[in-house]
Amino acid sequence: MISGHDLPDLPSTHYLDNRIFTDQAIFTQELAELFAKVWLFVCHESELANEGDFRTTLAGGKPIVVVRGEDGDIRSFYNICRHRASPVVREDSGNVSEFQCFYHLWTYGLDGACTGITKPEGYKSVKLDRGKLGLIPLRTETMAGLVFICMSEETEPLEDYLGDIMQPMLEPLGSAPLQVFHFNKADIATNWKLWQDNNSERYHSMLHVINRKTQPWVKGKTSPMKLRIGNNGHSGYWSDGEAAVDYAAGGYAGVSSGILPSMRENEMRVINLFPDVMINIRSNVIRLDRMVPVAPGKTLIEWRGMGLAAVSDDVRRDRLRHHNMFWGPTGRNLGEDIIAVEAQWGTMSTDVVRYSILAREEDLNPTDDANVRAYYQEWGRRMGRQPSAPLVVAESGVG
Amino acid sequence: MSESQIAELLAKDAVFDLIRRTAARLDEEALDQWLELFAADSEYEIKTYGPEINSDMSWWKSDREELARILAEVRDHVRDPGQRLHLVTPISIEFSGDRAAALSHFGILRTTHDGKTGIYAAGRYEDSVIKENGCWLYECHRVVLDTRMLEPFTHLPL
Repeated sequence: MISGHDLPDLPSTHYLDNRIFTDQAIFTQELAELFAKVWLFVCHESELANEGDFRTTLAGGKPIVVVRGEDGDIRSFYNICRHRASPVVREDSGNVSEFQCFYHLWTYGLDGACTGITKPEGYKSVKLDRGKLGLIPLRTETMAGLVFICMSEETEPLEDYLGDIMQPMLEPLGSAPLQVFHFNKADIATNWKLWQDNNSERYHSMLHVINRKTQPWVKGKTSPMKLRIGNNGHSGYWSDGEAAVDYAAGGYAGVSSGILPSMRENEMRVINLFPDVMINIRSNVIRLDRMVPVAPGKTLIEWRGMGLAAVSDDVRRDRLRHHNMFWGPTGRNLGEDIIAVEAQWGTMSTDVVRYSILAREEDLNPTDDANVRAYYQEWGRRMGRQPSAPLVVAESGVG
Repeated sequence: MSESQIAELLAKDAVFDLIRRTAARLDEEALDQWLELFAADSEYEIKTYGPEINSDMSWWKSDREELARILAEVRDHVRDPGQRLHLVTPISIEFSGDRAAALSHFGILRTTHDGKTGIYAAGRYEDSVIKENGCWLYECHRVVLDTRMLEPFTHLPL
């Protein structure tokens, strides 16, 4: 009798044990071994355009605040008061000259230093030193306008962590001022990695009505776009030659205005950063996904839409239309993706079918699974678990 | 009551009737009939405010021609099977000749296939309507959402 627990007759690199998506202990370990040790994208620098501009968010389950200081530098801190551990900032964004905790009104400078303690005379006898009570800082670096934070001192610098995978993104993202014109978020009922899978594997493009029209290779033709495998589990997907997305076939002409630097009309470039970011550029518009793990079966996803800041109203209108028709909460594609990954997690969590197959080998054509395999090999290295047998902990321990 | 007052009351009722029918046609997924409520040169928009980027955002902005093309594909999509029910309350209307600006509040209930009902979205309609050949039609049907986390996303207008 066929069992859903039968091991696939494949190399162990070519399948996953689905419990990596559903197991609570694995999820908890991911927060400690992945999210607390890698560089995490948190916002775009245009969201912090002026001195005192701040953004708050969650990173690896922790509340953080990112702020542009008086010296123009961007810094980040845990958004937790040193007095009684309340959140210092409760707004999503804003501009301040200093931070003041709403609860007992302790104050902090934009550099995180504690600048004021309410009724300080009460601490005189215990000689409380406010110089040691600044906000807890996080490593903060930027690349091509993207702001990343890291909770670990041991992790390599951002540039080394990202390696070469950012190369095709440097000009479109980093050579002209950009604007975040769209921000949307949703709690979705799936594991965070399944969203990164959906953003990485091209095999599911057939799910989408639009992609069946705009991406000719979906119906079997070879694509000039190829998968690229980077270091540290990063990957990408772009063409060095012909730009082959037929936007007009999907009814979305007008993508030739406001094209991002170095992009061509009808071009698409995608990179997936380990573990939780996707950047997808379609000619004149950028979609950036960021995943915030909440529970094994719950993920907060943030979506940003970005484009050139200095464009005409006509370009802005065309770009917005282009963005919204593919993506966004009323977009043609994104809603289909969410339905797919939520349904997938629901049945996956029953453990009837224990293994997922990642066995397509197509010379890095779009529907090859090579990038997803590389991602899970990196996951395994960092977690000290084989993705195909995650409940057998490797003797070497956590990588 | 003067004739002009009666005429305005009738016009007010006709515009509010348009808004109620709009919601009912969406609930029935009578999308072709929904589109008939728009003037030839008209626009549909869903917008909201994003505190994260401190800016208004447009999530859907289409002219009538594009709306028709998108709605023709709705049934081809893998989409939310939930049943929706709009609750609409007209708030105010200002007439200017054959045009009017109307404000309504709305809530949308969503019932899943297993019968569980929850609140899906809330907001207001900020509409510009025009009287053409004796009928009130939308020049702009604008949905301004208070809800910013649509779960699930929507292939249908709201």
